[in-house]
Amino acid sequence: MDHIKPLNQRAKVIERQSLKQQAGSEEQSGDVRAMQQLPLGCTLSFNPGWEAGANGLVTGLCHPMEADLYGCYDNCSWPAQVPDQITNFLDWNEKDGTVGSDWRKLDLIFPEDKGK
Amino acid sequence: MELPTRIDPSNHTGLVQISTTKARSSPARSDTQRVEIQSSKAPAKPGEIRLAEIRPFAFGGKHYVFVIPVTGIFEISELAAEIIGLFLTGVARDGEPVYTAATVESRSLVAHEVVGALRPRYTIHSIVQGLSELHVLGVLLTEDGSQPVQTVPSLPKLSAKPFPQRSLVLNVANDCNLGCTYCFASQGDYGAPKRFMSQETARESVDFLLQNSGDHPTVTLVFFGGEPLMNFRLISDTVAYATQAGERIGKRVDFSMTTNATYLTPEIIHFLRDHRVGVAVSIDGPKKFHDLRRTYKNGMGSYDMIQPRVMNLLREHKTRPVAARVTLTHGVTAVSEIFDHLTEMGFDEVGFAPVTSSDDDDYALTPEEFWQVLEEFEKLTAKYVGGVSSGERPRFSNLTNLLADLHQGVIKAYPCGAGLGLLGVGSTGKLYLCHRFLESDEHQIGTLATGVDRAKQAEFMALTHLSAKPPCQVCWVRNICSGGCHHEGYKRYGTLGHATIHRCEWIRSWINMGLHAYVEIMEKSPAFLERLERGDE
Repeated sequence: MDHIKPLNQRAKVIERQSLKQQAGSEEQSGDVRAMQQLPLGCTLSFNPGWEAGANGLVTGLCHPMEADLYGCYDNCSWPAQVPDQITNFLDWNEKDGTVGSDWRKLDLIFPEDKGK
Repeated sequence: MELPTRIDPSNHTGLVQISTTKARSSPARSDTQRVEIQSSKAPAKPGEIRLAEIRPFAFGGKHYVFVIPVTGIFEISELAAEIIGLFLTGVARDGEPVYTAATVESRSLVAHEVVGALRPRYTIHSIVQGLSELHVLGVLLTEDGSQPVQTVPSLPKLSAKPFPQRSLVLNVANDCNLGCTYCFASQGDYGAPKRFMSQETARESVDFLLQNSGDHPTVTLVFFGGEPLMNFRLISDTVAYATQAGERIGKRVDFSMTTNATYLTPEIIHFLRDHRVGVAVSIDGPKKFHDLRRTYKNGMGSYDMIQPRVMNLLREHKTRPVAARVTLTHGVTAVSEIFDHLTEMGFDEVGFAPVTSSDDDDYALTPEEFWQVLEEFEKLTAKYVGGVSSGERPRFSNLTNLLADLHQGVIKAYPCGAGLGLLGVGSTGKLYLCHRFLESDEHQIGTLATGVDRAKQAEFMALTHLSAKPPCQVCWVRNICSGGCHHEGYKRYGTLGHATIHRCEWIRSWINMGLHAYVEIMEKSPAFLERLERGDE
């Protein structure tokens, strides 16, 4: 941790505990980890109310104009919609080992593929 | 809502305020009224981040954060402090956050806003990392309101299981030869008939303590009064009996005693030394202060009587630290002077306690005097920190105790062990919540013969649990103070389970002082805190 350092015994317990939790569930890089722990304004499950910008308008949008500048750099993981993996295209990404390095292997999905 | 035309990163208040956390309710209102803990605000929207219950502070050019629900103390980077700063709404002119109702006023933001405000000066990567780390360690919360790390339950639940006894305070003599005007025991007899504890009752107490001590390898027997040395024969018999009884079942019995020192003969001092009896002497400083209220019943001061005896004790008794216990009263607030006097005499520790009083008592500290005491504490604290870094053994025991609590990160559901692991035994064998409630029928909680009245104990526990004290729920020191001394609250408000709210500001200031001392010692001499951890100090 670069920005917060536990001083007293209780704080050390909290740090140990949280590191253990992280180690158990993740092996990704620091950036991706940050993404998972913090909602950073971009989400895969779209919330219409939020998209419509109930508060803050453009700055609160899923893809505000600022995203063009730095959104895909590290605070937005997937700028486009992905195929429906729940019912229709269960295996669309089966050739992909790690999205980071093997993203080229992701299948392209066309409407006529449906039900294939 | 008006659109922000631009976000000015150099001015935090220029940020779009997305949703404001309303000011928390005042803690000072009637205690029958529930204090609302959750601020009323619009439902959280996705991506909303807010501050946990924290107290950020800066000291010696560094930034820190005290996480209130878990008593965690963290040092944070400049960037992390700036991130937290964005969430604070009440910022006074001097830059210190405004603490309403003892906790901090804040609002919620989404990550974009934080990134936007800090971006020109920090990389996005580092801002996100800062946010992430603050979140992982529970300083920032996300919309579901959960703490990411749950290491401690909010408060221990009431347990039906009997509490193992650790300490008994024996009222071995319900009488005193002095007549100190401020005595909470009404000049030594608690308003009950004067009598000595019998040998039989004392031995029963020992048996009771050992039988009910559960797995504790060590138990403590405290000789109290009145003036315990008026019944020295009983003390010497009980020490021998308890040592043997403990040895038979493989437990160690520790002894301690609080005395006014008037009866300290060389023989008694040798006895205390040989049996490692910890001694606390009630002494209020130099003669001019001590004799103001620590007098014989005819009004004559007791300083000249005790001074040679105390010197003898300090010279001879080296097997346990000898402590001075100072009661601060009207006119007796020169803490530094008193401290210097007592440490020069040779006391290993000096502890101060503002007298328990009602406002109309002539010995009560005035509000101004209370704050004077705190200023004096500040001087001693500065000396303490300086002394620690040059390897001196600190003797200001109030601060040592506070530092130990802070270092451990205590979460106290009860302010002390009274009625739980610690009980007072009256001179006739009745059990009371603690020594301060001795001989008070209302606060009896069983007898040696019949044991602890578990129903009464459960009632006491429910009544005095931290969660039952409304004003405490919004206070940042609640887990350390836990509402204050039961007796102090009882004396002031006439009922158990009432937080000592007349002292809140004072206690918060004192703990704040301790927090600053803590981070300074952590910076300069962390080895001291390790020794504190091991109990060497």
